[in-house]
Amino acid sequence: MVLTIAMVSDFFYPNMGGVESHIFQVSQCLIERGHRVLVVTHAYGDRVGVRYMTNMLKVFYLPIMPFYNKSVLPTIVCSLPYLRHILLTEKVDLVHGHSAFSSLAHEALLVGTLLNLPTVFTDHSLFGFSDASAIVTNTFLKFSLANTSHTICVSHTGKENTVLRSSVVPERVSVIPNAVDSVAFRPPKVRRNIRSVVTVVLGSRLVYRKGVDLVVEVLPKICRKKFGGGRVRVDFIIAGDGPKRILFEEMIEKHGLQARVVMLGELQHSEMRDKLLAKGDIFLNTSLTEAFCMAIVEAASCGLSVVSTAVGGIPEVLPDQFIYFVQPSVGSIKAGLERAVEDVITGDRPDPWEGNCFVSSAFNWRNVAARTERVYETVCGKERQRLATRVRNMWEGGTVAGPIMAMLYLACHYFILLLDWCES
Amino acid sequence: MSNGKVPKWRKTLYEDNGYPDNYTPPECFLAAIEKNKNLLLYSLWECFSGAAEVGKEMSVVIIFWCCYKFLKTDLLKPETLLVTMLGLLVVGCTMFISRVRKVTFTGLLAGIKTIFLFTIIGFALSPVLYKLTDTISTDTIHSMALSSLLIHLLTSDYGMYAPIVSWQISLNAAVFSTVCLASRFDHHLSAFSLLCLSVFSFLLVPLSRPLLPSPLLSSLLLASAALSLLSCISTPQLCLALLALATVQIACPVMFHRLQADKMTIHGPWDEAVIFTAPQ
Repeated sequence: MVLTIAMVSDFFYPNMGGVESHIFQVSQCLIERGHRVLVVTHAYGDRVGVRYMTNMLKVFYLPIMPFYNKSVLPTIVCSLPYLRHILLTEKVDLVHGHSAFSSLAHEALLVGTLLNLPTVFTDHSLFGFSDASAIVTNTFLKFSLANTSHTICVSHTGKENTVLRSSVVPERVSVIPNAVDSVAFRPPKVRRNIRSVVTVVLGSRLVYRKGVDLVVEVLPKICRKKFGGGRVRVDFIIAGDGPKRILFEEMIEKHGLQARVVMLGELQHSEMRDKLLAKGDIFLNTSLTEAFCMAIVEAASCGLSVVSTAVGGIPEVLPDQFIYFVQPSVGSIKAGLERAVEDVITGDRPDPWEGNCFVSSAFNWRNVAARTERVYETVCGKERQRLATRVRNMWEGGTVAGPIMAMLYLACHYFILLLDWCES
Repeated sequence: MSNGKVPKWRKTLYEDNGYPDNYTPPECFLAAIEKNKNLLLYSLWECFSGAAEVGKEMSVVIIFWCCYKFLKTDLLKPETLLVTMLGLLVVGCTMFISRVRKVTFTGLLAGIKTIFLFTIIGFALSPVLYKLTDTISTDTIHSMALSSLLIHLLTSDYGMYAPIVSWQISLNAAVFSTVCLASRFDHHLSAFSLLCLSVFSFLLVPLSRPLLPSPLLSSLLLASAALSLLSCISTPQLCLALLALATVQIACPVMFHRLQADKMTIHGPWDEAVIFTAPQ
């Protein structure tokens, strides 16, 4: 069954990130499988209008500017005419929205259900419950997913989190992990010879939720120690930028580690392998919360040993031979790093190409696209819900908010009828 | 299942179990969820004690307002007020020294010097003070004084941390209300006595928290004193004050205690990890 699929999200090229590369790669694999895919996103600076990317991937840069955190302002009335026009003119069969933080995706799901198209939503992140912003976001997500045909999460923990946040039936949530291009992220041709230096690399945004405060504490302790019977030392390479970068600079100054710790600053995704991962033996990840963590899979694909905190979805991603799990505390991270370094020195770890083979078989984009296609087929085969049922789903979403959202939904429905009449 | 044919479902992403993507066994789904972990519950006594702190501060504000009214209508002479405050100050100091903290002779001397300095400067500046807001109408004065006293109540420290608490703002707001009200007087001595009263009740009385017996008893005493003074001024204000104190000291703690039963927090592997700061 050949489908025309519209991928909608605020996050797309020229922005670089996990969601962006996910959308691009899955679209390319779906085109390879014979479907027609278009991407709808907001304008990036001068980049407005229709652009074509590889393999005739049509991208619509809608003339809406981002408002907060790279997302557009959720007005609904502003984007509804554009989305309706695109979905009708291109004869789209299915709408697929990405990322809970993207308001454009939620609006597209709304328009998709109003035009009685099957809709799918992919959630890429974990979210809390207790603070005020979480309560508001979760309520909006509940209404957004009330009429969505199916949801995809990137890990089992992500599925539990999404189900709790939006009260979706668990059978309507599939778990399809992200993937990594194992050809681009391959181990270096010449295997690194461990003589006197083991290199630990770190590549993330330097913010609180990536646990960099812990790294700042652990780093001097590890640099002071000698391994492998006193002949091997550990050096660090750190890529990434953020508000906590100043802590690293201060720590390097204080302990005089300029020769031992290299700060590379912000790196492009395409440079990550050559400038960072190919030069390391161990990859350190100290995130405090993570739904999937593509970085550790990229590191395993390049043949590095991974030391990571066991939070969120990370315990589900890699088997024990490729990863050392630690707790988010200085002592535990130090112990984990020491174990990893000793294993690197004695050679007691899998061959780098074994890691690459594992990642290419377990996490590849074609597999993700095939599983996503199965979701699409299930969803397209289901009977479409009547307008009354959809309004009812919204109404039952809450005591006060439910009726308000149901009214809004009906108002949008009449707006679409008005637009239909105007165009005829 | 262990018949060797169907593999067991595992919570991993890298292997194909043979189960469909949207399948999770019911016993594994949300298995690690914890509800109401580390919940802090308050007993009724703690609720009442906490509310009593707020009630005390409200009573002090009401007593301040009553003294201002009495000074205005000449029921209370400024000299009487000053002498009373001096007496209370001496009593309070001796109790503080004997019960709370031992003070050296030099410390005591420094304290007396500060009080002396403040009194002299205050007295010297009081003719300026009571002319400052002279041209503003009485209604505006009263509403400005009321709003700044409200800000004082909002930002006072009641023994619990909150982002809104700031003793600097609360003290400044109280002194500002004094400056507003002092302008309604005709004689600078009244203005000076009101200023002393304001510093006494809004700076020194909160400092005496460790001296007082228990928050409930002291709040009850202060509330009865405030309401009895207010009854001499006007009945509508008395009713309003009684209503406000009853809401804050009785209704709110009872509601808070009841609503605690509805608390429900969810914890699980998706929570952001808390960094352990235990010493190595």
